[in-house]
Amino acid sequence: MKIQKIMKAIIFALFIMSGSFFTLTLFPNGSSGENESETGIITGTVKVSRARHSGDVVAYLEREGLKKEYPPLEKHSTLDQKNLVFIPRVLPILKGTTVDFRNSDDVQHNIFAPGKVEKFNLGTWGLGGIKEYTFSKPGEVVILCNVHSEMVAYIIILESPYFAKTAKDGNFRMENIPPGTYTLKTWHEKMKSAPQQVTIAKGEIKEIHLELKKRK
Amino acid sequence: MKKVWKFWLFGLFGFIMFSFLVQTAQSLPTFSRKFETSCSTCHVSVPKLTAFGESFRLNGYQIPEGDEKYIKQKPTSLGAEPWKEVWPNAIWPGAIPGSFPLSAWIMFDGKAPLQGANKELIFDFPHEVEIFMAGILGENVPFFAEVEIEGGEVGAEAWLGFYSLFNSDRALNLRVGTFEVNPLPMFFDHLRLGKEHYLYNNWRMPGSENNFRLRGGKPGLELNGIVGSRFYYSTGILSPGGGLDGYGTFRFKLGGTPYNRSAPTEEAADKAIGVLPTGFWVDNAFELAAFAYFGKTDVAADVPDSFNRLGVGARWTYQNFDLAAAYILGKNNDPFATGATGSEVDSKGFQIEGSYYIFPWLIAEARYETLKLDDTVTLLDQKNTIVGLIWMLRANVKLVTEATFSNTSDNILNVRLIFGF
Repeated sequence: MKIQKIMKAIIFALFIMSGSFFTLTLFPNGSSGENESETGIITGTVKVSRARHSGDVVAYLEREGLKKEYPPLEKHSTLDQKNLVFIPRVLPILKGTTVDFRNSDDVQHNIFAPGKVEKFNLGTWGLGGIKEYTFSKPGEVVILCNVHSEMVAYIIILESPYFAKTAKDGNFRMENIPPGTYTLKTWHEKMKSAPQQVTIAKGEIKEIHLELKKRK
Repeated sequence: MKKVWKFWLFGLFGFIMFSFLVQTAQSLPTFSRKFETSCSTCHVSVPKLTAFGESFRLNGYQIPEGDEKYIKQKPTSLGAEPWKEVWPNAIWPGAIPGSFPLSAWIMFDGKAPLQGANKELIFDFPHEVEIFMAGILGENVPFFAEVEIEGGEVGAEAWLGFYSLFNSDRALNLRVGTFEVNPLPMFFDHLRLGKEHYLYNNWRMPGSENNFRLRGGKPGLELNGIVGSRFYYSTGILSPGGGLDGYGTFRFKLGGTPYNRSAPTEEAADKAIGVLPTGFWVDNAFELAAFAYFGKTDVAADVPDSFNRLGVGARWTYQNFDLAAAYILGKNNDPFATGATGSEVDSKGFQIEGSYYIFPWLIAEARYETLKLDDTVTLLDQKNTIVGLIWMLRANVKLVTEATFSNTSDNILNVRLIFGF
């Protein structure tokens, strides 16, 4: 009888350990860890009027009382300068994220932010060089290259991890959203945001279609 | 004096109106279109070049490290690359620009005397129209053509280059055509910052049938090249006036962007971290140059005038400052066809020019230049002082306001508006 109890205890301990291993493997940062059935998904399309394509729109969620501080990912985001353009042109990040600015061209490039949210100049450097900068304030930061004045990129610093960037066809998908009512907002370099209320329930996949119009 | 004030008021009004009118101007010349990049990538103030622009020019209108990946407007192939392997049983493959490589620069001039009895204002709208065609016909085959229409007269320059001969990595290049010799790069008249031509590049022997002057296109052949990244040479034969002229130049650069690179060396790169970026024109460097030109032209039937011009120059660029100076000597053996011994005319020229970038769109310039021609008596002893402001209203729209003070003519206020597309 005693042996049976000991065996049950060992099996139970092994079960717990394997469960922990499974969880850690799937969610190493502990960023989500939430059971997908406990969260929802927003998917949809954004149509940008009178534009070549509907990409580079950042869709993001805001909610009163939403937890304000989310730990940024340890992994850096990258903004590359390649063939005289910034790649990507639009980079949404979570507040506190560090961005690596890389030069992949033979020509020298500069990184310069003239805006109100963040104002800095990282200098000018050549092929293969990388400099980093951590963005600690939410908002839009315009990135320019002083050597090539036509180059521009936008870093959108967001307070919550619930955001997505549209592909050229306007499609986007946001996952692991806790149930609740949010305001879905958008950012585009030329279009105005069209906020709308979204209520998401456990396990729900909500489809949303937006059309953006030019800022006046 | 009243008219001068009117001139200023008109100029100011025009400046303000133009600033509003060109809000939507997006026109960019040939290379801007090809690479989808701004004029300021190559020019600090059109036509004066940045260090990158100079490398681009010296490498035959190609980005030194290879420009294929940067070209946004793809060229039309005149034969696939593997045809090179088939040569001589096939024509060597080439390419033509994806669209007709046409650009234009248009200049409006205005001037008013600052002294003297004549107070007339002169508007010369347009003073000059320049039409350019430039590009490459496949790798290492650059071409350039310019048609100038000025005062009812039409002039043309055109050349074709064959660069990197014998796989020399641009150490041995050939140019054939009509081109402007560039005796001293710091005083290359075609690429000057302000309006006034450089005195020594522009002068002709007064009263002589020898009409030679350094500036302007001359037909001929030139060999040039970059040796060891910081040494550049050019030598050529020209036939501007029936005779055969020869010339040689060299230049050497310390610091900054090497001639065969797009960027400064790691040590010279701007590592400054601050709120504002340093200017795109910054290339901290020191450059030395020298040239020799030998020519001969008939000034009367069977009476030749042999002449030479020798010069040295230096340029120091540091942050927002740009300072250049040159000393040039010349000799004409018989410019007035006297046939007598001792009829030589010596020329001596000195020029110094400084500029300062107040803002990326506002540059102050100052120049002092002298030219002295000595026969048995002094034929000419000219001293010019030029001060001005260069306003970049857009990357492709430039306003020059320049005052010229001379001991041989009336002092003049010049205004030039240039726009290109």
